[in-house]
Amino acid sequence: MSKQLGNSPDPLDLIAQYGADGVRVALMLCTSAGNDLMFDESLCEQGRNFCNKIWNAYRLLGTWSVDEAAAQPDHSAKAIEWFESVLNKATAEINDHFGAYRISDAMMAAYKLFWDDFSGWYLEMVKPTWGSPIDGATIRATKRFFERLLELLHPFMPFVTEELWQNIAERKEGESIMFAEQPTELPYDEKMLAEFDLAREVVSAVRNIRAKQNVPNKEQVALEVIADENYHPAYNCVVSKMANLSAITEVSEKNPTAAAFIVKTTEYFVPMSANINVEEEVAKMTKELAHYEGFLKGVLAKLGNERFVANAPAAVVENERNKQRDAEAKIAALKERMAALQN
Amino acid sequence: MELAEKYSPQTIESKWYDYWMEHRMFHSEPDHRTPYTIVIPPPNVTGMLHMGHMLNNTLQDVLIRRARMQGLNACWVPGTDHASIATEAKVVAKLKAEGIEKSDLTREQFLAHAWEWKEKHGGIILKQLRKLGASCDWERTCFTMDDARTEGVIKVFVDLYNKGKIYRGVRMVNWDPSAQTALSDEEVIYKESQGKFYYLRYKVEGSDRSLIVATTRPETILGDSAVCVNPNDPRYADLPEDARVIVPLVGRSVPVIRDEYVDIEFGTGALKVTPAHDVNDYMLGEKYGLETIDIFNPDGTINDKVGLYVGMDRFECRKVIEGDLQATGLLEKTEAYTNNVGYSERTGVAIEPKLSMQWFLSMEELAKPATAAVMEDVIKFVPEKYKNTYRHWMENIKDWCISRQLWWGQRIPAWYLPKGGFVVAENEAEALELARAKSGDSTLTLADLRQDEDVLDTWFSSWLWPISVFDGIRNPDNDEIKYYYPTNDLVTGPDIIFFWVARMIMAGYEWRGERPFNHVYTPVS
Repeated sequence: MSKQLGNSPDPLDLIAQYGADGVRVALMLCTSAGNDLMFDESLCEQGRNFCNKIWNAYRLLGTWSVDEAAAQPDHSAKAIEWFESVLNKATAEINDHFGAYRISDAMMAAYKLFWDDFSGWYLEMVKPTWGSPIDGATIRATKRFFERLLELLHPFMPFVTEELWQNIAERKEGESIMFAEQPTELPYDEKMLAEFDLAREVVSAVRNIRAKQNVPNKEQVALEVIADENYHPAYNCVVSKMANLSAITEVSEKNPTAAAFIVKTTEYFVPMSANINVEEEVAKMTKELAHYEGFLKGVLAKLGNERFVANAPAAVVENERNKQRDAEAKIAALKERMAALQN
Repeated sequence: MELAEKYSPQTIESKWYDYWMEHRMFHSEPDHRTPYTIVIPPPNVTGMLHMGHMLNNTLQDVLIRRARMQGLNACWVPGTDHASIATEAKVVAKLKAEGIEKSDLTREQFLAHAWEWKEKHGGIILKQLRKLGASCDWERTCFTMDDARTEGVIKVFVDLYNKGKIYRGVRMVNWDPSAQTALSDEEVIYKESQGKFYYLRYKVEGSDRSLIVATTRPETILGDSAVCVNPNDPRYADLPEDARVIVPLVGRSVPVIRDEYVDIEFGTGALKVTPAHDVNDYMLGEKYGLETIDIFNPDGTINDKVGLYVGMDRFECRKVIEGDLQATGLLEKTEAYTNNVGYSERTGVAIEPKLSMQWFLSMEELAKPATAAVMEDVIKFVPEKYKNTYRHWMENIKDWCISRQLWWGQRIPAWYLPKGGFVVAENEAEALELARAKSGDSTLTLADLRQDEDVLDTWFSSWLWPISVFDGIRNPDNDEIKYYYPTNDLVTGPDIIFFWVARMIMAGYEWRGERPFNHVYTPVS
């Protein structure tokens, strides 16, 4: 090991530059892929960024004003119920990694838990709208989660977690996160987690449509759904908030003019006409259509060349066929949508 | 408490480390809780932190902090290794830069310099570990050469000697001409080297015939005692039974011996035999009662035994001798040849096989329980892949050469009697008592005894580490050793599984009757 790392930078310089917590995270990251140690200074940057992420998320909580008496919104109650399960499940997973000495994997699990689930989803769900206060029950639950996350992360990044842990609640002199006892086994609801994942997919799909169709996040859109067994209306409050929906309506027929997507088996539609300028949209699609038709022509010419098909490696030919299929599907979808808009 | 707007590791890291230290939060004492123990692989006392240490120590800190948060009584014992050969080499180099040769100093003078160096540079690496956040119980910091550990090492040596496991003998050892000490087999690294095969002409006495002998080391002809051929080799079937040949340049007459050890297919089928400088030749020499002519000084220059090339360095001599052989028509030809040459792990110079008087530890019995412990998963290797390598090594274990011709280390507790023989004892008073009894001469005084000049291999102290850090060698029934031993996890590099891990397991069974740790975790291969 010492030999493989012989030409690495001076560890103390790295600590001075990125902080010990950041360097520790980097060391865990560089061993996570398997046995080979591939140390790269950019990992230290990633480590320090993670410290910053935690720091800034914590500071965000501090910027929210609290109204103890305010009622807890449904979406916050659901979010709390969900994150409790996420956290308990991740804790079990981390314990499992530790049991098998997969220490880098344990850290990666804690890293993703904080970065994706907590910061990317949970905080967004409970975040009060700009200028309004957060209710007492939600902020208390959020701080409790934060504290548990700090405790999970402490062995990997002892300093930043101690600093925030000391700040998040009143502590007596001589207390330390070092002795905050860790829960071993806590219950979690697999069924709820699976259902919630579908709700998250719906949110992602709507966000994709917004990006493609240039619909700003501030502007509300409607969502239609053909309900089936994979549709769980219990999470609509969360989906509505996260995707900024005006309403979620159950329908029985496909909406041909809407942007459609499927999550597992459930079909969803975002009606677009209200949000778009038909003429502009048709003009945009006509241009797009011309591009794909030209592209398809090129691909077909290649595939029409017998020498190419006979001599090129099978994978290359197959790649061209895939391009053909994709282009044909795009063209069909564009034509269908233009026809629907123009009617 | 006000939180800073921006994350600034420089500000918070020293603040919290001081807080933890001030409240002695890393300190552990035996109590009613379940212990969780890690002993640090002790870095060289004058070493500096490198990325390998960083990774291993981060992992240890993660494990120990997690254990603490699970309510276990976590104890991570830090310390440093005196690193006999590495430290001595550094001190010698430092003195040389100041114009002082080691040979101009007495043992005491040299050791004073070495301790001064240790005090000045020692322990920097432990301070560096604090920067990393390592939550070691610093109050327990040990050094493999401090008084408690040294007493343990001496006690163990005497114990093994009294059990008949330590013996003294002339053996072929791996000689490091730069450090001028013997090395264990594990301290020799074999590398492919470009060399030449020299075909030399040995004239058969009383005939016009010559034998052509191929060698990679023509300078060693100075120490030749015979030429050996295979009795089934038809090329030499007509040589008389008592044929003798003349060693080129040297003019010495040596016998032609016949042994099936010689490979007929290899080279010319005729082998020069130099018992003092080749392990295989040494065995042939033993078998046929050949003379052993050691031609080298301890620093690798030619000595005055033969009277040729005296004082010349071994590699320089090889070049000169090639020219001389050429000039006298005794060099038939040369061929390019790639062979494996052993180099010293510490000083990087080519190892010289050399006969010398050394102390050895018999390993076979010690290895048995240690092999079983790993094979039966009493001690688990993570990952498991090193289990088989471990077994292979343990099943082919050789006796351990534990003496080193150095000064920095634990001096071998053997005292030589004026009229021959020696005694092994824990201290001078005991040695004198034993010496008087052995010699039957009650007038003997300490001044009549001469203590062995050699020190012990560093691993002979670090193999006791999981026991010695809790003073379990000197005081085997103390509360700490009973509470913290066996330790839980050992986090180390796979490169020292045999040097260190295997030997700690042997020591664990020998002096505690049980494993030193539950898991051996080698994160990087």
